[in-house]
Amino acid sequence: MQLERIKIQINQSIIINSIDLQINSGEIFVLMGPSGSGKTTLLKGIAGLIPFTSGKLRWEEKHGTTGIVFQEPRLFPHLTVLENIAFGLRVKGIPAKERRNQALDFLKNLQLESLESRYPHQLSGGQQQRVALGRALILKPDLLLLDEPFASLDTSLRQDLIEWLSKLQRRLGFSILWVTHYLDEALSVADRIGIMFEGAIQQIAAPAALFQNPATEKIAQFLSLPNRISRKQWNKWFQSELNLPTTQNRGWIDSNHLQVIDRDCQLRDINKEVSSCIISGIVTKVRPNREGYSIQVTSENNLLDVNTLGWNKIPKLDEKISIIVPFEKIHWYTE
Amino acid sequence: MVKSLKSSLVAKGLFIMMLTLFLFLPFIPLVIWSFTKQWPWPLLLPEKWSLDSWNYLFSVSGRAGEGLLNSWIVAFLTLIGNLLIGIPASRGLAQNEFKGKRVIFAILLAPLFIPYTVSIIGMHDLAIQFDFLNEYVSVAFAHLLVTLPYFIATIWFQFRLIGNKLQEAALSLGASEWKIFIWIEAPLLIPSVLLGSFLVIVISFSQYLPTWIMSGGTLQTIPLVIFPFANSGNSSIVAAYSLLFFIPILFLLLVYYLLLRINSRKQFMKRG
Repeated sequence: MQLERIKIQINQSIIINSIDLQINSGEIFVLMGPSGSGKTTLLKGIAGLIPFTSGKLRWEEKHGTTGIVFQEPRLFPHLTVLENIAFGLRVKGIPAKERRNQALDFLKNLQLESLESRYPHQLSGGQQQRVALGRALILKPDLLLLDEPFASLDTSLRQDLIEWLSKLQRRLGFSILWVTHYLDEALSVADRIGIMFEGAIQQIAAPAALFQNPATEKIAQFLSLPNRISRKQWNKWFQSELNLPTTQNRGWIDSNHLQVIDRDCQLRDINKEVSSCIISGIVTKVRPNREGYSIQVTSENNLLDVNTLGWNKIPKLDEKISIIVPFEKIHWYTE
Repeated sequence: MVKSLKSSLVAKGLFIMMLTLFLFLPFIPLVIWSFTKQWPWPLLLPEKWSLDSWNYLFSVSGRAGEGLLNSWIVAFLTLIGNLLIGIPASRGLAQNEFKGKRVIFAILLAPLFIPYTVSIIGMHDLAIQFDFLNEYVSVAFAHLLVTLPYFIATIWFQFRLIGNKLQEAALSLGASEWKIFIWIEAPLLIPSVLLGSFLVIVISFSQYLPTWIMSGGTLQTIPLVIFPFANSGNSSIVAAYSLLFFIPILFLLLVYYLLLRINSRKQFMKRG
């Protein structure tokens, strides 16, 4: 599917502004962005629920089909699981017996055997969402549109369903345009990720590339990248002009790559390493995590998040500490 | 803990008893009055009992049968009008945003707020214009104006509850507007259509002035049959007519609950 300069305007306000996007066959494309950025509107536009103000939607073949699953299951409450799944087939005019057989057969894919005569209110949240997925997938869409389908479910169920859907997608081979605001969800399924702000897609990249090279500071902030420091400050800490392209004026480093050091014992040895620098700062916040402690350190008006390993040594508030920063772990980008 | 539970049960029992008495007390004198011609104060019960009023009701001059039949025909026509106008109007108002929506809503609900005398004077003028119409139709038209706000308010609320999320889901599966209405919205509307229809029939049954004005007093519905007796102070016959009038309402109430029960057997109303 290919979108060309898609624009959607509702009541004089432009919601989607000139979007170009190509989704390849069998690909899972994850669209992320803050609330109100136009993700749902774009999905509804592709599904034909909202008209495009301008632009074109093209398919690789003559005419492609879409199926959409919303955040809430939106099951028809007066129809059974089987009737809900077969609804699209009924619309198509497929005879009752045939659509029943097809729907029963599809229930196996959904792992919902023996629940066919239940009503939506008799199902759990996860089962309801699987029925909603089945209702869309039974029509064999070329592109499945997912609008935060698991957002209302608890974490473990969400992870199970993501795993299940990924397997199903690999088996049936359809493409997915998946809207989510969960980073872990995006990383676990995405072939490519698109970041959307104010009705426009700002960056499209493979998950790893997106983290390594966020296109703007706004994207880096949206991805919650820690320790985003200006190049000027890094120059100061490294006590030299860093050898980087001029456009890369900001760098971030993961909290796990910053190491708290014992000044007395390690300072002399570490200073020999040309590719590192040492930052002195004051501990301003301490929180325990799964591996040790997350501490916040203030240095020259900059806040640094540092993760320590182990629980034996508890960092103290207002304590003066030193942190070693390996240069090669800093990811550079343009502000 | 047990004490407070007991006292709460007693309070509940008392409340239900008071409510039952409040609802049924007016029927006791009605029943008594329908079997006597005289019940002077301060007698607790009448001295003489008689079936005269009930006999009169079912005599040729009593016109109870004619009154009931006419009431049913008018109520049925009024209901048809409400279904044809009320459902699409409620749907349009509940699910769409357009300019002048509030004005249209206010116009449709206007009979609820406009003083009754103003409506009646308007209807009188309407009756002269619509003189060519069959009297059942013209009376039903007047009843439609009176009942439509109640019907629309009931159905509109249900459409608001249904929202347009299911509509979007069905649309994404390829359903046309008509199929969405027939397969999705109509089954979900049944409880409120039943309630709205019940209200429409009951309100239509009890209309006196609109019926009198539109038919020129020639179409004898139950209120028109009762009125001269009430005017002349014949409490016994009025009581008998009132009880007779109550039977179809009771019947409708039973039908309403029966249909509601059949509909809720599918249990889709009790969403978990």
